[in-house]
Amino acid sequence: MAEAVSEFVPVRRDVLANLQASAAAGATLREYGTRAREAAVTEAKALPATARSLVQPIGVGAVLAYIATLDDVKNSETVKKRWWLLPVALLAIGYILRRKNSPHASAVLTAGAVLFVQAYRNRPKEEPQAQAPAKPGGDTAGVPQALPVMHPIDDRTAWIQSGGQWVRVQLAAPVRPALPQQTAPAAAAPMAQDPAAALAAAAFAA
Amino acid sequence: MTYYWRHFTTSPTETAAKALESARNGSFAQLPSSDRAKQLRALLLLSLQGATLSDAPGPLGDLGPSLYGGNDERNAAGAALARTAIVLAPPGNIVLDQDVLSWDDAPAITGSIPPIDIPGLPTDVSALPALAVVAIVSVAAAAACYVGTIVTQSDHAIAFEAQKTQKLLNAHTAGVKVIALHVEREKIAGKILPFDPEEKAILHGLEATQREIVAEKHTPLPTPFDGARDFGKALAGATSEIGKSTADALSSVVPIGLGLGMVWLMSK
Repeated sequence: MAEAVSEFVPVRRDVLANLQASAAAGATLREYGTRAREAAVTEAKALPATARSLVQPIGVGAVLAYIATLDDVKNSETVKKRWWLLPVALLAIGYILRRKNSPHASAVLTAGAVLFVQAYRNRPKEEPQAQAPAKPGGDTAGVPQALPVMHPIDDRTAWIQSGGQWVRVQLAAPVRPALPQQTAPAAAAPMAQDPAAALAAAAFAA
Repeated sequence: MTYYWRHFTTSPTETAAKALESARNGSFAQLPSSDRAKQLRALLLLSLQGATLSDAPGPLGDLGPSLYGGNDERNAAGAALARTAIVLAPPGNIVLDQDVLSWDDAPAITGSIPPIDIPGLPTDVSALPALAVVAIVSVAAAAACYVGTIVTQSDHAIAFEAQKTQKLLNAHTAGVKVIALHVEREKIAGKILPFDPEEKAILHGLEATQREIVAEKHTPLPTPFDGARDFGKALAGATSEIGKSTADALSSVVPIGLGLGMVWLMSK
C-alpha cells in the first residue's frame, strides 16, 4: 500500500503545465535531429555522384580557359587581328555539343560568352583612315594635314606648318618655288607632276 | 672628323629634272662638259636624298639602317640608289680628307674654305642661292663627292660613253622616280607603305644592273653604308619572316586543335 502511494506525487497545476511543455519541446527536437540526420545521410550518399557531375564542367571550363590564355594563342597574329575568332569558335563548339545533348555544352557556351565579352571590350582600336589627297580647285579647308604648308615671312625665311607643328626655316630663293605654298592646289600641282622635284628641293634645302 | 661636300647651284629643280632626262635617254656623253658636270652633281645629290626615302631636308650622306626602321626592303631600296655613285666611280681608292666646295659646273675647291674671291662666286658663302650639304660619313657619300669632284677634270675616267654606264643611269633614273613617287604616296597616306610589285621590279632591275657591272670588274656588290642591305639579303629576310609567321600560325592552331580534341573526348 505504501509503494502504491509513493508512485503518485501531488503536483501543482502550473508546474505540471511546464513539465508537459518541456516534454513536447523534447519531442520536437528529437524529430528535427532525426530529419537532419536523414538529410546528412542522403547528401553523403549523393556526394560521389554530385562531385562527378561537377568535376566535368569545371574541368572543361578550366581546360578552355587555359587554352584561351596560352601565350601562343593570345599573341598569335590571327587571334590578335580577329578578336572574335576564339569566342565564336567556343560558342560554335558549345552549339554542336548542345545539339548532341552533351553535358558539357553549357560549360563551353558559358566560357564562349565570357570570352566574347572580354575580347569585345579589349578589341583593338580601328586605325585612323588615311587622309584623302587635296581636291584641285578647293580652298585651304581641304588641305590634308600631311602636306606641309609654307607661310613665307620674307625672301629667305618662312614658317612651315607640318603635322600640327610650326617650324621656322631659312630658305634660299630658288628653292621656294619648289616647296609647297600657302594653298593646297598650288602646292600639290608641281609635286604631282614631278615628284622628283620635291626630292631635289629637299636635297638643296640644307 | 667629318668632312663635307657643299654644292651650290642656282636652279636645283630644273637641273635635277634635266639630269634625270639626260640619264634616262643616255645622253650624258653628248652633253657639253659644263652641263654634264652640273647635271651629274645634281643627280648625285638627288640620289642621296632619294636614298633616305624621304623628302625631309637635312644633311645628305648620313645613311644607315636606322633610317629605314629595320625594314630590309626599304634599306635595300635606299642602298640601291646610293650604290650607283660607287659603281659609277672609276676604279681605285676614294680618299677624302678635306672639305669640298663646288658651284654648278665649276671645278671643285678642296680644303678649308677661305674667304672666297673667285669671279662669279659671292664672297659670302651663306648668301649663295641654293645649297646641298653632304656629310662624308658613308661610302656612298664619299663616292658621290668624288665623282662630283672629278667630273670637271678632263681625265675623269667616268665611262659615260659605255653602254653599261648608260644602262646604269637609265635604271637609276627609273629608281629615283619610283622612290620619289613612293615618298609622295607615303606623304599623302601619312604612313609607311610597302613597295608595289611594279616598284619592286624597277628597284630590283637597278640592283641587277649594278651587279652586272661589278661582276665584269670581278668585284662584289659594293656596300654603300654600314648595315646596307641588298634585295638578295632582303628577300632572304622576307623568307625567314614568312617562316616565322607560319610557325606563329601553327603555334596558335595546335593548342586550339588540342582543346577541341579534349572536348570531343570528354563529350564521348
